[in-house]
Amino acid sequence: MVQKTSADKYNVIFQTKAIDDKIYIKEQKGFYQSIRRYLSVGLMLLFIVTPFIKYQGNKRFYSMLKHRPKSSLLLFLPARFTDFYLPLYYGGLCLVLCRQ
Amino acid sequence: MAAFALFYVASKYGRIWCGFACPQMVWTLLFLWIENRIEGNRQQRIKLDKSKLSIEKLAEKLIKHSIWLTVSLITGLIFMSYFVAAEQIYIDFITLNTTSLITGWVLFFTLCTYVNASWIRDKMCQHMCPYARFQSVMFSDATSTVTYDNQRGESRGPRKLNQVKPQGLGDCVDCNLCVQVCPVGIDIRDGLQYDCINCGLCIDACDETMSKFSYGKELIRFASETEQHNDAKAKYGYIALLLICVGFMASWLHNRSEFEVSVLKDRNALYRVNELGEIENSYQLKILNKSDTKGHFKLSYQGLEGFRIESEKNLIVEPQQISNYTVTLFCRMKAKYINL
Repeated sequence: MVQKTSADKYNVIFQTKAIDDKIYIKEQKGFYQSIRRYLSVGLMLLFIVTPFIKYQGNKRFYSMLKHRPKSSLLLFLPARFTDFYLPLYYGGLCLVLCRQ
Repeated sequence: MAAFALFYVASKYGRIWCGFACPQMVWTLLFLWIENRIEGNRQQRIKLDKSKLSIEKLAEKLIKHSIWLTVSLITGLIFMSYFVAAEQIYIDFITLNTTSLITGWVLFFTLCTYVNASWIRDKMCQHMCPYARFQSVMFSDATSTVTYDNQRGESRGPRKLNQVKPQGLGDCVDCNLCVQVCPVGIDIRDGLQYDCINCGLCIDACDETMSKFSYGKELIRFASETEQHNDAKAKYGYIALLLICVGFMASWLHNRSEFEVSVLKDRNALYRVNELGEIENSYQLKILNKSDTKGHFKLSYQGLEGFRIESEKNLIVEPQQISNYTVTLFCRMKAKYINL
């Protein structure tokens, strides 16, 4: 939990460290937690079975990556993560890394 | 389609997607469930992390991370089954027969799942997710968000169970459970915050406490600033766009072709004239069979006089495979040009 002090409004930048401390979440039961759990199970099952779904005898959610170079746009995923990781720890690196 | 559904939901219920259906949340919930079963409840986990390194602590951490990694690996395999044959990838991976490309991608997604759901968790929602940032533009006074009833709850203060409510105190007993159950670690009593993912866990925790004290529920609840209905134009606009997208999606699924053909001109020579006086052009024919059955293709042309094609007669492509064929096209030259 973040302990707030009267000086916090003057230390907004440095508060990030406190926010980034590990959060120990208490397990909670209740109406909304039940919805989350059942929905999560449903979504996971959907995630698993979707590649097997067939329509008119053939799979419909299948990208055939190795035969379709365009699907290799997935390669940009690591770049996306790098884009978010670096600013998380080092702030804006635009001055050093940006093509502009 | 997903984008318009998100826009509509965000305008009506705020970040409900983040709290209930986002893959980041779904996997974090699963990983937390595993953590709770192995390391115990919140207090036990804090105690374990603060304790010195021991064989018991090491064993618990090792078991937890092994299970997390196994779940991540399964997730990586499932994700890759969207891009390579689903039935085959599991068998190939277990028998170590996958190509290095596929293995690399599976391990990459394994690592992503493990890091996201076990280490990053809420920081993804707070610092990295672009959706969390731009959805605020879809909020209005009528958007339902998790809200603390300030007038009813304040002034907050502790009290004993079954004690008559002390004068000057509101319904909030300051038990802090709403903060302890929050996946992003915020205090909803401070008001609407960009970190809040609308998961409703603080509502569950508060309702439980209110019941114990025999107070009315919904001190924390889903409510909008004005408690009014959304702007009808925006509401029906989003629904209309969503329906259009659903129509396009259904049409695409229904009409998706079973194969793709691409024709590439042979780059060695523009053309050549053979001994029969014919102009000869070579092409590379690529046929991608997207169906689950063997594809038999026949090459023909129409509407052209003086042309002939030379290629393999039976063009056969295995299911979900691509085949290359060389096709040569011949054109008879007109007599007056032959001796030039």
